[in-house]
Order: sequence, then C-alpha cells, then structure tokens
Amino acid sequence: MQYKPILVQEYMQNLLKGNRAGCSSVARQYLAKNPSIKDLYEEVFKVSLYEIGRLWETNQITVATEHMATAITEGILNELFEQIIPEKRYNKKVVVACVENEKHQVGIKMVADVFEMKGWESFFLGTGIPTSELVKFIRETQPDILAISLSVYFNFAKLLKMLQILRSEFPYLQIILGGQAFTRVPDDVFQRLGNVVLLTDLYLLEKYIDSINANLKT
Amino acid sequence: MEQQSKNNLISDWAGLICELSHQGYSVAIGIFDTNGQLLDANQAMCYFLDTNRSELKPGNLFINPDFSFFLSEEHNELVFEGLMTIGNYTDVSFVLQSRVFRRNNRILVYAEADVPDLFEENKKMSVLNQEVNNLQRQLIKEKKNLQATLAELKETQQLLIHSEKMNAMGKLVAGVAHELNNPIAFVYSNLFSLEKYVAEVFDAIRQIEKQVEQTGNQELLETIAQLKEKNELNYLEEDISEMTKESKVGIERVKTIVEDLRRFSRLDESDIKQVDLVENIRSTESIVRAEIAKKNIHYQYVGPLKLQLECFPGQLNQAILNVLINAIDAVQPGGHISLIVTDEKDKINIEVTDDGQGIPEKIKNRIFEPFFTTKPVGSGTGLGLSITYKIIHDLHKGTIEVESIVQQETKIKLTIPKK
Repeated sequence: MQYKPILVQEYMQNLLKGNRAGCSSVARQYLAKNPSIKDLYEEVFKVSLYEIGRLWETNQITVATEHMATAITEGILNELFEQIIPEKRYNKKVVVACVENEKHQVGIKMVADVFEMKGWESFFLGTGIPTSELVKFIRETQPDILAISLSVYFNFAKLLKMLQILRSEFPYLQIILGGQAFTRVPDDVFQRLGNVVLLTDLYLLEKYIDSINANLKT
Repeated sequence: MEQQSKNNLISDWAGLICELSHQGYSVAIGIFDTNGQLLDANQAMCYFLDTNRSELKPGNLFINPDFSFFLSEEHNELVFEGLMTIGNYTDVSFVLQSRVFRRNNRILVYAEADVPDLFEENKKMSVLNQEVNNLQRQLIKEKKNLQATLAELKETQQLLIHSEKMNAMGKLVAGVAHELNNPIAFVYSNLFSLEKYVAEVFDAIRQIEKQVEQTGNQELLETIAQLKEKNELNYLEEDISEMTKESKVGIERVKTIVEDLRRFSRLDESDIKQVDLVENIRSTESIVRAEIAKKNIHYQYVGPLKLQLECFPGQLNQAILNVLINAIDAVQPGGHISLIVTDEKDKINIEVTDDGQGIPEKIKNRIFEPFFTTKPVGSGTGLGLSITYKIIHDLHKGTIEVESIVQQETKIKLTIPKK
C-alpha cells in the first residue's frame, strides 16, 4: 500500500507542472501494481483533482491551472479508455450529464467509464448542454439510467430545478447522482423525487451496476 | 463629474501603485537611454526582455518596431502606440499593447498584456480542449465498434466461403449423381434381362441335349459332351449366375450410394420441408461409411425407423455430418460411436456419442468458435461445429449440448424443436 501516497504525490506534482507524459507514466506505474482502473480513478485521479480544487479554493492556484490539471486527467482517461471496454456487452444504455453550466466533466466521465467497464453503452453530450437539449437527447436515446454529476455545490439549486424538469418529462426514468458537491448534501433531499439514487463513489456505483447486471443476459 | 472624481481617487494612490508595478507581471515598464541602454525595468519588462533587475542586460530585442524607431520622432512625447513585438528572432516572441514616450534623452516603454483577452482565450481553449477530449473518446468508441464489425465480417466471409464450397460440392455431387442415374438404370435393368437371357440360353442348350439323347445318336452326344467340356459350359453357367448375382448386389449398392448423395446434397430442398429424418440420417451415414470401416469403428444407430420432421433437410444433414466426422476423428481404431434419435413431445434429440479422446474443459467454450480446431494444420478448417451451431441454433432454433469426459466419452446432443 506504500506506493499509493507516493504515486498520488507524483501525480499531483506532474499535474501542477502540466506534465502530461509524467502523469501518464504515474498512471501506468499504478496499474502495474494494481490493475484496477477503478481504483486508479478513486485513489489517484479523484484524490488529486479534489486537492487541485482545494488549492483553487484556498487561492493557491489559478483557474487556468485547474483547467490544465483537468484536461491532462481527461486525456489520460482517454488513453485508458480503449482498455476498459469488455467483450461482454449488455444491451443497456446510460446517459451521463452534468448540471447545466457545470464545467467539470472528469467525474462524470469516470462514471461513464465504470458503466462501460460493466458492459453498458454510455452517452455523453459534454458540458454546457441545456436541460431542454438533454430532455430531447434522452427521448431519442431511451437510456435505462441517467447519471448526473454535480461538482460545485454552488449549482445545487440548478440541479434541483433540472431534476424537477426531468422527472416531469420522464416519470419513471432511473436517475443516479454523484459528485464532489454531495459531500455536503443530505441525501434525503432527493427521496421525494422517487427513483433517484445518490452514489457517492465509484465503488458504490459498481455495486449498483452489478446488482442490475446480475439479472441481465449479454 | 463623477468620472473625474474617481480618476482622482486612483491618482491618490499613485505612489503605492507605482511601487507595486515594480513587482507586477501584467504591465511591463522599462526606461532606456537614447543609446538603447536599459536603465530600469519592472519584473514584467525583465521577463519579456529576458533579463533580471540587477543585471538589466536584455537577451531579447524590440523587433517590430525596432529601437531606432523610438528616436525618429523627436518633437512628440508619444513616439509609438500600437502592438509591439519583443523577441529573439528565433523561438521567442511576445506581442504587447504598447506606448512609448520620450522625454529628453530618456525613453519609457509601457507595454501591457490584454488580460481580459488572455482569460477569454484561456476559456475558449479549455472548452476546445474538452471538445477534443470528448471527440477523441467518441473516436475510440467508433474504432472499437469498427473493429468488432470487421471481425464479424471476416467471420461471415469465411462462413460464406465455406458454405459456398459446400454448395459447390453439393452441386458437383448432385450433378454426378444425376449423370450416373441413367447409366445405372439401364445397367440395372440390363442385368436383370441378361440374367434371364442367360438362363434361357442354358435352358435351350439343355433341351437340345435332351432331344439329341432321345434320338440315341451317340456320336452327336459325344460331340456335345466334348463341346461342353471344351468350353466349360457347366462352370460358365455356375459362374455367370454367380457374377450376375454379384453384379446385381454391386449395382444395388451404387444405386443406394447415388441416391444417398442426391439426398445428402438436396440442392432442391433449401426450403423448410417435411422429411423422414431417419432416411436423412441414413444418407448422411453413407457419406462416412468408408471412414467408419477404415478405422474399424463400431457404429450403431438407435432410434425409430421412420420419423417425420419439418426442417431444412440439406442443412440438417450437414450439421449431423460435421458432428459425425468429429466423432470419427476423435475415436481410436476399433472405437465406438452411437447415434441415438429420440422423439419427444415437442422436440427431437439427435445424440452422437463417441468413446474418443474427449474435449478438455478449457476448450469446451471455444469449440463452436469459427476457425477453432484441434486437428493438425491443414486437416480441419475449424468451421465444422460452428456451421453445425449456426444450422441448429440459428436456422432451426434448436440447441446444442456438449458433455465430455476426457479420455472417456463425448456426447453432442442436437435438439430440434418440432415447429
């Protein structure tokens, strides 16, 4: 377990320097020791990006640096993406989205990746998609699940509004929520919307998908 | 009026602002003499000119305009206004919004980076970067899809080639069978006539002999006896009858083989139709009979004598043949193969069991994969069971079960639902 804090530190240093190759190498070193991409996401990427967020919140880095760190991590997600798609596919679809105007898309991409690892087809429209467009897309795609990420607590009111619109358009659509912002939100807020589940990390997400997949045929 | 007072408010802080600007990075300020010597510069100007505040020896130059331009307009205080490029002519260049002033023999260069513009550019770049990332991801997904499609196409292509081969073989077999049919028919019927005629000829000879005997002409009798002796007529009669009998058995066999071949190829029967499954199985057996005999295999069929089934007969024959060929390849000389047909209420089971080498557990999942073969290179295409699978599973909506104990037995059970 000793290698983990060291690799996280190395990853952080490379992120702040904007050294993409260095970050990629750290990710590979991690996978050589622990081949779980999910663990890499949780233990290295998530920890590092939360720390980057904290550095911005405490006025130590610029938004540009935060963007760079995010972009590098997204690039590495793409590097790994090819490895994660399994042979075994279910005929199941998930649409992943951010709250309107939310700019942070790394978290939701990790969520999409976990779905892909579990044999689901994931669809991502990118950030900055108005709720009306999302509604249209859901109507076309007919997903089994909609996953929404909220990174910044500031956007919480927007999320509630978005959920109300989605619920009235799709009364039975299963919605799952996650993201950094939920470390501060009590989950009973969503109870009354029905069919909304809060999953605070990728492990809970994995268990949740497994419980669905257990009843499916490839 | 209010604007005026605000400006005055900033002016009140002029001293402090001036002091702070020494450390700043957004406005570059430098003082030169008319020889181009840098006399004082803030942090930003030092950065752009590639020097530091203690040395003041620029590594970079004013490229556009160059320094001499600042000396040409002697009468105005403002000697230049606009975008200025500082750099080293090779890899470094900065473009700054600048104003240059001259007072006596001192020149002030005041250059700013457009910070709101930089932020705007940065924002645009972040968004673009996200888009690129998302597109890259889509691309990877599409690539995966294309790879899967390509693999599928390759498989289909090979299956098509194989089925085309089988089709061509079927045509050839059907053609040969058809061509053989006529000669077989007349040989068959001629043989019967021949047998009859020969019997009549010998009968006539016997009657002639009898007639001569009655006349009592010893000399003639003697001659007949000699001729019979000389031409071995007694032996000939026996042998001819033996030969016709054998030829009849032979031609019967040829007839059955040709019928089997025709039934097996069943080119005319690519549609679903009601057939006698047992008769089909018999014709399939006949294709491998020689192999069975060569390896001295004990083969037995257990099942009804007749069994009507709605199926694609040609394809079903091929499916059974593939399983039989594998069983024959799997057993040792002198081994056992059985084909058991059972008729259930809503389905028919065809079970081929052999006591051959068996299928190891680790490859059991793969035996229906196209091109998977354990036979030596060149002797098996690895397509047999995958074709059987397609025929049973896809065409007849049936199932295939495999049970195998290594070095003991293998049972392949084809189940076909009755309509």
